[in-house]
Order: sequence, then C-alpha cells, then structure tokens
Amino acid sequence: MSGSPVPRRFLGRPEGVRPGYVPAPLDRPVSVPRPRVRTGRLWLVQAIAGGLLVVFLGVHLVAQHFLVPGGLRSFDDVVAYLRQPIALVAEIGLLASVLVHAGLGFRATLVDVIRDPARLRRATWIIAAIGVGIFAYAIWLTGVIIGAV
Amino acid sequence: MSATTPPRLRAPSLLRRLAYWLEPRWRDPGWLAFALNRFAGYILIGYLLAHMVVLSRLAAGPAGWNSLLDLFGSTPFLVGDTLLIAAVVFHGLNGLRVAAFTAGWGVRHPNAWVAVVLAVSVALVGLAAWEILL
Repeated sequence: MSGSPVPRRFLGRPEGVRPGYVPAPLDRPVSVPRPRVRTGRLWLVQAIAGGLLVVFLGVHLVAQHFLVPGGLRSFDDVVAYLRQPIALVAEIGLLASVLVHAGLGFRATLVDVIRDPARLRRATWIIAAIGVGIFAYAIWLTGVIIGAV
Repeated sequence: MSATTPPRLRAPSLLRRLAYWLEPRWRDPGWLAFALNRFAGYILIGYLLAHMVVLSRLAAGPAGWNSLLDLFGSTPFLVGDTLLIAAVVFHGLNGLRVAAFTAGWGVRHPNAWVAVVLAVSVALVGLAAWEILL
C-alpha cells in the first residue's frame, strides 16, 4: 500500500438508505482533486440578480398593486408615483434585475439544447442585445410618461 | 489500437433532447421543482414581454391608459393575475431553495425542502387568490 492520499469516490448509494441520502462529513479534511471545467460565473450573476429581484419585485407589487384601492393605478397616479425619486430608482432597479435574471435564465435553458459553443455565444449576444434594447425602450417610455422627454 | 478506441456516440437530436423534458420516469422531487421552475420562468418571460407592450399605452396619455383599467379588472384578467402570482411565488421560493442548497444549507433533506417550497407556494397563492378574486 502506498502512502499517497486516496480520493474519496462515490461508489453508489449504500444499502438501506432513502433517496436523497447525503453522506456524513468526514471528521478530517480530505484533499480531493476537482475537475477543471469552464462554467464561468454567470450563474452567480443570475443568483445576485434573483436576490435583488425578490426585493424590487416585492416593493413593486406592494406599492403598485396591494396598497392601491382596486389594485390598479390611474394614469395620473402612475405619473405621480414615478415622479418620486425613490420609486423611480426602485422601478429601474426592478427593470434591470429582471432583464439580467431573465436573460441569463433563458440562456441557461439554451445551454441544454445548443451544443456548438460558437452558436451558444451568438445566442448569448442576441439575448444581451434584446435585453439592452428593452432596457433602453423602458427608460425612454418612463421619460415620456413623467414628462422628462 | 482500434480495440481500445471507444465508439463515437452520435449526439441525440434536438427533438429527442426536448422530449427528454416530458419523460416522467426515474425522476425525483428535485427534478419536479427544476422542471416547474423552468416552466414558470418561461411564463414570466412571456409576461415580461407582454407587460412592456401594455405599458406602451401609457405613452398615449390618460385616454390610452385609463380605458384599459376596466379590462384589467375583469374576471379573466384577475384569474390570469392569480396564475401569474403562482408562477412568481413558486419561481421565487424555489430560487431561494436553490441558493440555499448552493450555500450548503438544507442539503441533508432535499426532498423535504421541495415539499416546503410547494406547500408555502400553495398557501401564499391561496391567500393571493382570496384577496384578488373574492
């Protein structure tokens, strides 16, 4: 027997345990070589955008619908709401986070069906362009609504 | 030499890869949550695009927007709003579950957490439906 450390391998679910079984942690640290993969960090960007989305969407739903009698604002109420700086920041933050989260989420579904890296890269740029276009359109529309454009 | 060379496997077709999503066998609760999460995500992307189109009516001024309020308050639209809230609530809670698992929290009881997400989603959507429809 050589003295070199042996990586702990997954040898299958032990007998008599339920599905979803997770082995107990080792009582001492074991160095296991990790595979080198090029996954990038877009999942982390999507997760951060998702966290921001929970906050901004919560504010949006409460302020725009649940606190409003009847659940819908009239045109004058919409304009008055958007002219408040904090509300404007919250709505633009919601727009940016939802576009980032949705764009990366849609791209993640394409990863499962597009195998060619070049095609996936092209699809990523198309999604990014659509997101930037929607963001620019929404900013212009907001400016028109509040009378700044 | 050729005896040790593994045979080249043909990549499954796009249709077969898409059909894989409809295959219910060999699945666990985590897959159910994953598939529902994607389905809800597609619904939310569709709603996002439709929402941007509808909001463009605000550029037409009060006449363009206020005429839509009666339509948005009709029963079919309110039922649609409730289904939309179901997608938002499940997608959001499941996203928090995935983030927690990524951080190593709750991984010892993955199936139980899927059940918790589903149960809390049903409860919150029930409350929203009570508020919106009744």
